Amino acid sequence: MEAEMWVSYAAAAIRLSVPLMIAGLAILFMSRSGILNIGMEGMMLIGSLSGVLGAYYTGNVWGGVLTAMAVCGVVGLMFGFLVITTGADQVIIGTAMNLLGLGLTTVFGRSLLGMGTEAVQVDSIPVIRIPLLADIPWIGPALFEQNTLTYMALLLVPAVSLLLYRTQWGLQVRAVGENPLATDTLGVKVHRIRYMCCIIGGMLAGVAGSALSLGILNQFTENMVAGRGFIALSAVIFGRWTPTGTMMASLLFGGADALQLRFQNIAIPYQFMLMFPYVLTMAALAWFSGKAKQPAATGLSYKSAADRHA
Amino acid sequence: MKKRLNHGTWAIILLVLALTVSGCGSSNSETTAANEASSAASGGDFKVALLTPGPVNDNGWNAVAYQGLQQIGEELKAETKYSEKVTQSDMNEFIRGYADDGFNVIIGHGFEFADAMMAVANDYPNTWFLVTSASVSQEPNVASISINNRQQGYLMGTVAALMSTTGTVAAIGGMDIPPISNSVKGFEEGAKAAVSGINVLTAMTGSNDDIAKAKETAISLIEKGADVVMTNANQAGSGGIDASKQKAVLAIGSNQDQNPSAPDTVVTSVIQDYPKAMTVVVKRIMDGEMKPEAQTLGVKEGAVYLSPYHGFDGKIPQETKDRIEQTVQGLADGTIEVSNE
Repeated sequence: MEAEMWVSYAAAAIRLSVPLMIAGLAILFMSRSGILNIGMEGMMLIGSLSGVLGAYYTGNVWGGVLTAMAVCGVVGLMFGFLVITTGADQVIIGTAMNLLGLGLTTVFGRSLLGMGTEAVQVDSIPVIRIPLLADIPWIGPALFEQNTLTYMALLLVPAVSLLLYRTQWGLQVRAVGENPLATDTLGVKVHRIRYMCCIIGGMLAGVAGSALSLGILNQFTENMVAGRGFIALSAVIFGRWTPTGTMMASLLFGGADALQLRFQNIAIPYQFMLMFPYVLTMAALAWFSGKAKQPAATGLSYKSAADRHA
Repeated sequence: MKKRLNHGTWAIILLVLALTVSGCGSSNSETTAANEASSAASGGDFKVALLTPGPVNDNGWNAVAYQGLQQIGEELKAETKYSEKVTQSDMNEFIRGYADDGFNVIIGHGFEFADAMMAVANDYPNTWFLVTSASVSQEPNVASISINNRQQGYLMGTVAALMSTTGTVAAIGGMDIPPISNSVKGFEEGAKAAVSGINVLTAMTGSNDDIAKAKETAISLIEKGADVVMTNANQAGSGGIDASKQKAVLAIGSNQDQNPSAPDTVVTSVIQDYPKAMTVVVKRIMDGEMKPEAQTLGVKEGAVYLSPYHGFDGKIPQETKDRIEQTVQGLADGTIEVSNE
């Protein structure tokens, strides 16, 4: 591949992997505290729409990102209430979240942004070229000429690592995900930790959604997340529930997506190229599922020991 | 031990509530499945019924059919009624109901109505049964209407090739369904006929929802040298226009006038006019000229045409406009022959 093609490919791969990466970190937070969130697709859709709405009404793209964080934080809280306090089945609530997300965004998208044929367009997140670094041949222009959210996503990965593995709170989160009863007996408030993870997860889902609608694009269209919420979930599994692994998996999936868009003109029928990212996802999951282990308390609701005999 | 409503039950109640709320929201304006349209003012003897698979206010496929029905009511002075959100299992009942009421024409909007129409048609020889976006027909009274998307693509390709300065143009399709794949094939033919030796890049994204993918596909084709890009992928198509705008190249709109969304980018759009096609076919029935055939309507019938150039009007050389006009004429009078696969 020529240098220019390579740079353009790498840039596209990074662009496409950012929503996956942020959504993956959101899922990771919830997952490490023992909450399985298959409703990421719906949460991201809500984030996409509220990001555009926020940017439209405040007139500022960061206003949009903050709106998305706030709205999805509330959605995360709701999700938390259903699976933590009421102890509802996490798979069912997750599925409901996906349906709810699609329905709500369709209704509010149409009623607030209008039914007109032109989509409402807002400013997108600015692309910043980092001087010097962007001059590095090959990787420079691909990595250091991205939108601001991309840099934030890349910085978020070590930040989350630090938080999960180097702080007491991180230890509590991981302990709650593995053995809530034992953690509870040591005086850690299991529900409080899980609620916090749900809210953080929700807020990150909002950022992930707006990374799509405000970062890559500058508008909202119905069902625009198009399966990325599920791909993000597999990125977490493929990444073995670690922030760095999730980042690498996201880059791989984003890279596969960018690759298939660029190789449709060769002899292979394009349908095979369209399948490529998904085939890769399945192959990766099949290959790693034996070795990776999810947090032991995943999917189980926990009732505080103090509550049990009430 | 206190007896309390168990947590699982609470969750289910909340879930049902949440779904009900969202359900109500999405179907606020079409409460009954069989809303009756206000009949045309004059209310002639000729009666036309429309069945749509989804809500008629969807700003897309179903809304187009509703527009067509209104146009039939206004222009042909026919009495019109419609039923929306007709599911596969109810089709038979609706079709028979309208036929029993003496409707002259019953239109099923979408190929999924074909089987039901053909099954019922024999019992009602005095009624015409039309299926849109299909190519079925049955003696003596079932016909179908489709748009010649190959011509639509041919026109888009012609304009793109004539506007290109790099000698490379691109066509992107969304889902691989006949209206879209035909337009992409037509694009290639039109571009090559207009400028010999032009390089035509094509790609399919496989989705009409994934606007980000449409945009990235367009960017990759622009980086391969394309300076005019056509994207035909329903709502995801605006991703292609967005990419063209960002990379400062030109775009061709599809299906509706897309210039307002990017006035300095979209040269023109090639429109597929289903309302017009429906009106033309119903007129044929009124005039007794209808045959039970698959009717494909294109440039000649006014169902495929170019939108205005808007801001590009002054920027396109007269010579180019003449060439485009020649192609339109050629498609209309049949000297250029392209038809759907």
